[in-house]
Amino acid sequence: MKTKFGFEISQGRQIDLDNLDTHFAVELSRMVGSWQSCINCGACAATCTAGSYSGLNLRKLHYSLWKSDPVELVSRIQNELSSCVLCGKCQLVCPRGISTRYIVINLMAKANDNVYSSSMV
Amino acid sequence: MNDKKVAVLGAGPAGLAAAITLAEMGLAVSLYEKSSEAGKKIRSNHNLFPDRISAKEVHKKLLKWLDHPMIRWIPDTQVIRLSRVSRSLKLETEKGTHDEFDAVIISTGFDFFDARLKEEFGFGIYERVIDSPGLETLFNSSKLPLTFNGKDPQTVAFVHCVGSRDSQSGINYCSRLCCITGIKQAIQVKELYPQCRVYNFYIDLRAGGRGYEELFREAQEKYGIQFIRGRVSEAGENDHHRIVIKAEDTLMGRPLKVTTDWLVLLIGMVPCKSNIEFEPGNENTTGQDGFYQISRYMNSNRVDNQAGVYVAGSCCGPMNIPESIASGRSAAAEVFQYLKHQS
Amino acid sequence: MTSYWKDYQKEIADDNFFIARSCIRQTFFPGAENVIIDILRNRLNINIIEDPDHTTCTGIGYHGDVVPLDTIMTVIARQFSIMQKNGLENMVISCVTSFGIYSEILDLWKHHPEKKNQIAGYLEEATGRTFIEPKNLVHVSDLLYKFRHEIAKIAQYKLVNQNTGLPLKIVDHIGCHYAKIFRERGIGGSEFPQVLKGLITVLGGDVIDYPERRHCCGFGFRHYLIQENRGYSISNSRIKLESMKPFEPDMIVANCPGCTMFLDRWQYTLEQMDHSVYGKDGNKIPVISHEELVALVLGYDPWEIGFQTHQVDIEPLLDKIGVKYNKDEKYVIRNRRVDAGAHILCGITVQD
Repeated sequence: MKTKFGFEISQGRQIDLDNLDTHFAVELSRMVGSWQSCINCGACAATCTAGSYSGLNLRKLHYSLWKSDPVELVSRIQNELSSCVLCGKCQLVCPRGISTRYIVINLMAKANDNVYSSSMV
Repeated sequence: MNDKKVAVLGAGPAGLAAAITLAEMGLAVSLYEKSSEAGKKIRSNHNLFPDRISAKEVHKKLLKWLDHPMIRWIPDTQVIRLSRVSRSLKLETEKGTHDEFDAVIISTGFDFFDARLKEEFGFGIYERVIDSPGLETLFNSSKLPLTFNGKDPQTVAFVHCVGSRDSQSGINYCSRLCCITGIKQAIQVKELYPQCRVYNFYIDLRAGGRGYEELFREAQEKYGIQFIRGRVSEAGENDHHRIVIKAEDTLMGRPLKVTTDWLVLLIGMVPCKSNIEFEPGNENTTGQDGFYQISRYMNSNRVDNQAGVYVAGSCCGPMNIPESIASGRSAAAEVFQYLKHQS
Repeated sequence: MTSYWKDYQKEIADDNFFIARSCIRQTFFPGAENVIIDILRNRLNINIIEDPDHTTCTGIGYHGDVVPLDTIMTVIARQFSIMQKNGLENMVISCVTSFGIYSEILDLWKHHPEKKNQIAGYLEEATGRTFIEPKNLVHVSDLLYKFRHEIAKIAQYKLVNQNTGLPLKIVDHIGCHYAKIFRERGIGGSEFPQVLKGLITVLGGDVIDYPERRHCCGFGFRHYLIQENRGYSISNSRIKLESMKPFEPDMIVANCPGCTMFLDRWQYTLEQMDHSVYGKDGNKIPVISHEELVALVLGYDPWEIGFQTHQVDIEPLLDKIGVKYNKDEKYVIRNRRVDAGAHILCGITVQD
């Protein structure tokens, strides 16, 4: 029997690199090798069509793929990525030449259980 | 001109380049070196950025310059005092001997920052916290340098900016070459241990030399090295003698913790401790950062108000090998000009 | 000449100290303070003067956001005035948070002398007193560090496990306010403080270095005092306890009374909340203060020292060291029974 004292023990938000599940990110880097060379410059987020009108921040999303819990990530992807109009401006400006648009498509598919909708491609 | 004598103090890349240039110009050169060998620091490396050329090969090529007949090689001798005697410069060594010259090039190089001063990282306290020269020595010593008690490392972490850009350690400048050292060494670790996870904790990545940015991209793309922007605050040892570090991942805005098998501290270059005493007074020879001061007008390697005294190489600021060599050659050319006008 | 913080020794006077007591230590571990004053006076022959006029430093109130800065500075000035009245210029503080407050205020006055003058004005107006700043301000654990060799000479017990012959594995916990704010006020600086380590090593123990050694116990005053915030507070103690668990420590020594209380009490709370225990073989880890440690090795009776007020039972540790004690006298002090009200605070049950 566990006693309740009127408060809960806080879990903390420290990123524990030893115990992080990064299979999402690892898979993506296999598909889009140049993605690992991202320097977080933010050019993609700066030019993003959806960026000013929704919560979508491509730079943050890409970076947090390596550091976030997969369950939390999937719900974020579903909510934020739905604003993406697949215009491709992010890919145009990336100084590392990363196919950011392709990454977005794969993330959407992953979030929807690997189902590629014909209208997306 | 043939009767002119020049002293070069310090046989690193700058000193060697200065000596060979002066010798080829027909001047008698005395090359002093406090240790027993020339280019000691170069040879202690494994390979050099950005092309990863073998340090031993580079060292061999530089050492060939010592064979020149006009160079008098004086090892194991440290010069401690420089004074003026009518129109000559008198050099006094620690052994008590002295000699007179018409011009002097000081190329005494740098020291490495003592990482024990950054006690939060546990250097000198925990066995597997090492600094970048220490890692380079390990690379030279064995085919499996980071295998400890028979176990290959699972994780290796590098900390950039240890001692540099830091008012706590009293060193406010950027040492310019540590970031690229960290990138190069991270790649070396991945080459030796492909399964190992490598993290580089940086503040700003400064890869400003030719080929440096390309090496950085290679580190990211080809080797999967993770660069995390954020400071490491402390290191502690767990019950398996692995190092636990705490850092902030500034791009995520969250604190971070990782357990690593090795913690490598990328230390900067600091002014050489064994600086030479000038008589009378040392006031104008070094800048606020402790390195020798060359002309504010950027057109000369001469020490202010000291006729015939020139500086070259990393004793006047952090420099890599090609920069030091160029600096040494440049100082030698200036000395030649000076002596020509003297005669 | 390079010197490292680890080797830093701070200046500690030899004799003639004015002592300021600690609220938390008095309340939760009443035996500790009595026994250390006896040791300092009669065993180490240091002149320690106490004045009944002195008060709490009001640190709990200040850190709990109910006492403003000016008020606490005036209280501190009054303490200095009492010190001066007793003809002393050295001050020794019992509580680490209190030590931090005195240090902070002295530093503030150094950089803002106009503030000091203002406080002098307040004090004069309220009480008619004037004051001087102490020449030497140290913590009790600093004094014990300074005289550690003398203590070791007269010690009756060593910090060694009788059954195995090996030194006891001891966690040294330094209160945050000791050296984290001003590195130069702590022996050994702030990353690897030596004040408890030096004492423990000389008495025969081994100090454990574990990853969360520098972490705060989580006391936090304002955070702990309000029940809803306590979860955040307790999670910090948990981080420390979890980190030290693999090293199987025999005991924890803490120099701050708040930390001693926290690490001692929270082991019970954590066990009740989610069944976690952090000592070897499912036992809890005894937590004692530096005064209790010194009194223990000098042969004072454990119940005189006040171990019965600790949440975690001390008997296993006493058995390890080989200290002689009478089990039946645990809750009987000087032929009187412990008052029934007192034990509720400590969470222990008393056989009546």
